[in-house]
Amino acid sequence: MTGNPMTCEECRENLEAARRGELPPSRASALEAHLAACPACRRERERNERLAALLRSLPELSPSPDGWPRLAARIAREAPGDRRRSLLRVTAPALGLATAAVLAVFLLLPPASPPPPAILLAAGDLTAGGLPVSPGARLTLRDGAELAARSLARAEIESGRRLELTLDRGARLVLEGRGRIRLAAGRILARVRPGPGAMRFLLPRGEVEVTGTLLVVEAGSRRARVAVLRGEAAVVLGSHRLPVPAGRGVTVDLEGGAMTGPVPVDPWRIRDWCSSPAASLRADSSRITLTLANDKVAPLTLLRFDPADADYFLRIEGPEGTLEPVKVQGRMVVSGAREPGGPAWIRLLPGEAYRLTIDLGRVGLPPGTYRVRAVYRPYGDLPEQAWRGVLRSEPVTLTLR
Amino acid sequence: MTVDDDRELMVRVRGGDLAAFEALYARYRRPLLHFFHRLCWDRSFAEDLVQDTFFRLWKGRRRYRPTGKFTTYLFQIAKNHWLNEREKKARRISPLSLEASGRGESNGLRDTVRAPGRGPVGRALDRELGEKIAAATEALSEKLRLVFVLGQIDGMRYADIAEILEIPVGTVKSRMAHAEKALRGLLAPYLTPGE
Repeated sequence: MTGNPMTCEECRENLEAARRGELPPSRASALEAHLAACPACRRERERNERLAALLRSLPELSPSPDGWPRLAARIAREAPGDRRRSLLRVTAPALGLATAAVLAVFLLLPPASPPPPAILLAAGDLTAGGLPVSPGARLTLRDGAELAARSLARAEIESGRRLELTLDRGARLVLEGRGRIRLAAGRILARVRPGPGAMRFLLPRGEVEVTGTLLVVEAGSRRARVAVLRGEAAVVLGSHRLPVPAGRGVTVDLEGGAMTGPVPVDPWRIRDWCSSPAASLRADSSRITLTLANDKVAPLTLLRFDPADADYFLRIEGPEGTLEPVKVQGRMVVSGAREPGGPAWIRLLPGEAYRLTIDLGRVGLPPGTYRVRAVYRPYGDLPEQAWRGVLRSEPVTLTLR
Repeated sequence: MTVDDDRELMVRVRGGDLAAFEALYARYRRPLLHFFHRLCWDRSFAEDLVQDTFFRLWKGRRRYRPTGKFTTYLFQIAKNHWLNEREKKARRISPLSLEASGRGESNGLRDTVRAPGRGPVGRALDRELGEKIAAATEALSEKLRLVFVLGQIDGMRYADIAEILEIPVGTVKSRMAHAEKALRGLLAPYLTPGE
């Protein structure tokens, strides 16, 4: 018994139901009878089966392992709201002082919803949505807002999402909301304070999951890099999830879509970018000023010039070639109100600078045009935490008459 | 797992049992992720939508009545949330939103449709195929897409889809046939014998 015969149209409408075993037996028999007699509908069935096979060939996604902790934390954050409602419901029939006390507790409870997203600019030259942001400005940012750094800039994002960012010059990112930041270009240093749920940095391809750590994320045109300096993060690319421990990094090939690592990040010299000072030199006819600035995010310890023995050597390239180091006397100034941090070294907080001014009147150079380059090279018994690199300023031209 | 198991767990959730809720989460996070990902092709967004759906389930737990299948109840919440979020996302002006992204750009939206452990040629083919499948499903109308994507969930029957979408079973069947016909057209080069 095959029931009523099927038309081609009916047959094609029922092919998927038949494949899924959802046709009643009488309809299934009618469909099979039609297929036996109709090559066109058989070809249709073959195409349907190939489509199903094609869709099955897509890899299964694995849910993020931090899903439950995130959800549980969200539920916990909402719990005061639940409690408030139940307190009010229970005490509503009561009158007088007891009710007032419960209501007072209710009013003093923190709001259940997090404050609106905001940015607090700590230092640097930053634009939001293409408009410049004044230092110290506090802005409310909507999802989709773009931040860009024209110089090294530092920003603190408040949205219940405990995040501090340093953007390298040229870095561009988009705050996408829901704890997601899309890095469009350049390099950022991110300090994510531990808390519930993961924060996500979306790369041009793939993403980084961070639950509480210090890391550098860099997006170039052909590759992206993630370096974890403290804590742990994970780079997710497609169905791959690669945990990255502290001191290690991963490179994402944006063209080939492959990940390399985790490898030690020391050769990447990422730490230099995060915590080395910048040197600059200015000169006019009366003085030379050497500035060592901490324009990074971490405090920096430098060997200081000793003010008690304020003699410095200046290497000067003049018309007759490089002169012997000239002994000069300088004056040290630390920007801001703080005093130097120790007898032999100085601790510079982010944004602070250490300047040495050299009075050229005391040097006794003959008139002429000179090219001056400052070199800072700490030596001797350095304190453990002192920075040990060598800094060279860009040369400046000095004309003495 | 059985239908009764799910209902029993959800009844415990209604009473505030977080362990029962975790068990349901562990059971259904993967099919929900699959559902949302096939709708938006954005892994992060899909993960967030899964979180939101379970959060809504928890917040509305007191309204649960153990009358039908738990999965249809859960996917109804998911479907409603998807429709809301999709509308919001469409209204939002975002330079890197799903809508603004061009086909084939390396913006990471479709990088999740790739099989691991294959050679460079295999990976390139997977990527191209993933792009095509994503583009093809996105080209479907919302009505067809929801029926089609729900139909890809393991164990989801036409009657369940009909209940979730609040449409007759016959409509599910005809929308599925339409969706498949459209997809066969869009993916024709990948459906030739021997591929």
